Amino acid sequence: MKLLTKTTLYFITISLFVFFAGGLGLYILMQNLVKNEVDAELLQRIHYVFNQIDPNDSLGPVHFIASEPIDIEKIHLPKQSSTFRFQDTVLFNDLTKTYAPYRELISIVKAGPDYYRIRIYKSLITSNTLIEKVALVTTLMLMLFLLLAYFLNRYLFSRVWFDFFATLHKIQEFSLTMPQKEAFSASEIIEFNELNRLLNKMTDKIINDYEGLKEFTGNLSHEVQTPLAVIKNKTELMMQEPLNKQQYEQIGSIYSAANRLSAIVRSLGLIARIDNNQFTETQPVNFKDLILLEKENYEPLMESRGIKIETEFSGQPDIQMNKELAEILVNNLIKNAVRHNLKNGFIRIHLSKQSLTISNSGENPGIPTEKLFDQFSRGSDKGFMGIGLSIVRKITEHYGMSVRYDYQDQQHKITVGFQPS
Amino acid sequence: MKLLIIEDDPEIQDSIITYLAPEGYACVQAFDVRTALDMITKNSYDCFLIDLNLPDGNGTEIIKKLKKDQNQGGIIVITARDAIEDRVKALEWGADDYLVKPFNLSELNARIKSLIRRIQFQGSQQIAAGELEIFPEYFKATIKGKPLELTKKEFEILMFFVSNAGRVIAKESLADQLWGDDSDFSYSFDFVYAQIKNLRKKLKEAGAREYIQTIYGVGYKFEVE
Repeated sequence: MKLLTKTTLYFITISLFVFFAGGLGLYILMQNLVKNEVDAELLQRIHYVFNQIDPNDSLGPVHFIASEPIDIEKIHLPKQSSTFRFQDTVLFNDLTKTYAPYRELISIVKAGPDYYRIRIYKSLITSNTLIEKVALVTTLMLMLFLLLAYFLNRYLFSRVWFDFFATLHKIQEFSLTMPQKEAFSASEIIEFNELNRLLNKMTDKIINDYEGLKEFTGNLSHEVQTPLAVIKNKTELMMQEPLNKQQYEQIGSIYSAANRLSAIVRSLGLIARIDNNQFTETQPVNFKDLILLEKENYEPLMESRGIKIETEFSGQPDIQMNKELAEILVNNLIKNAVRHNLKNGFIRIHLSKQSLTISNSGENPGIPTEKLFDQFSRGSDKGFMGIGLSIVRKITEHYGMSVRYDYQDQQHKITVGFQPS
Repeated sequence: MKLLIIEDDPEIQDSIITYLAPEGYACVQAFDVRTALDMITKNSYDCFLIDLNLPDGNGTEIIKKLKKDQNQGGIIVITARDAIEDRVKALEWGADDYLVKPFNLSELNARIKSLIRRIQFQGSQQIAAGELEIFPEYFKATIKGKPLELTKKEFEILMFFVSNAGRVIAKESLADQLWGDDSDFSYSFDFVYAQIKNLRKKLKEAGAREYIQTIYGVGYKFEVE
């Protein structure tokens, strides 16, 4: 969920709650106010009625003094001498033929020898209308306020968080192949300034570490070759001596291990050279020719394993690349398809303007296909270094191409997309 | 045949000389640029092995001097730099061949022989090994005068074997020979086994003796005698 969405949701939820509670409170408050007002008026009127009653006379003039309905009822024995009781009620209006709300005051009065219960009423229609009007206006005002606050919130949000989003964008852009030091600029907002400062510190460290690592791999792959040459050459000399079977095997193992080590550091050196942008010379690459060349190269091996190869060329990518890297790319892909194939299996190569697809039969790799691009990840197929595909990925990354690996039902498929993904 | 080996690592020097000894070359050592330059002005050599990274300078100085003096000796560069541009540069300066460290001695031996053949006989030499006769110029081989139908790879292997006749050759060296310089060198040797199998079959069908011996755990040996 976006930060803005989240804050807006909170804002709306809380506003609605406050709005509702406030409205309810206001309504109750206003009703009380009106009730007090009406009650005070009714009291005033009843006292006026009392004053009009002649203690010796009957209730003669009383009927005429009230503009609003008044009920007088003779009763026998009052429980209390004089009480005032308020209550809400409805009365039938003959004119409109509807019931209308009224406030009623009931009191008992002594006129002459008799006791009377007097009920006077005050219509609540106007007060209720007033409350409704006030409520409506308040609601409108609150809604207006809410709307205003919403847009203000959005506006302030984009203003206040502007630096933050700039930082976020820079983090997304961050790439070790084109490292940029001190990429995060200062901000007026202390928190964001701190964030940027820490990010600068962190990325500088990452860049430095990465540079160091690159230098280390570069040097290592170079420096290790001379001692390895000594091991290899001395072993080769020892092979020439008359040895027994066991000694031959041991010498063979040493030689084999030295070769593997040499190949590994050489591959790492290649990756380091790609990382160091040492393949600057580019030229248009004819992938069709490269594929045909490699196909010819592997033909004897494929024949010996009964592997059928089909090629389909429906187009040529229009791409500038380093020739050596293009060769390594195609070689590694085809070699991979030949090696991890089944006896009497197949290889299908399809080249189009957009992509190069190589599918082949083969066992289940046993690990997620994406992992096969990692260094030294070989899946279930033991006996290989597992560095060929990581070189493939490095080269495709270097030229902004895409690469994906699919496996389904004993069929492996690697697709190199020439257009940036 | 006089060889000047310019390489600063004494162990590698020693290995090269030991391996090449049976070939009957006169090997002379130089460990730095200064000595090497001094030696090439005083004596003549048929072939130069030059390491590029030397303690007092770059091996290219020696190549440039040789070319300037129009020296006829063959030049093989040996270096730990494996980038193609380094290779192209060395060849542009006038080197005849280029070997990346760590190289196989059998490979070096084959390259030296091939280079000497090219210089001395302009390549048009035929090589005899037992009943075999090889014409490198035409990529052809015969057994007792009968031509062998070999693929390019099989011919390359046969040539490599003959160049290193009597020596134990590791299967890795053959794989190197077949796969070329590979960023991801294979140690599954299917390809080598398949090629050797085919080559053996063809030699046998042509009525040759069993020249290729298997050395268990190591590789092969091509024995003429």
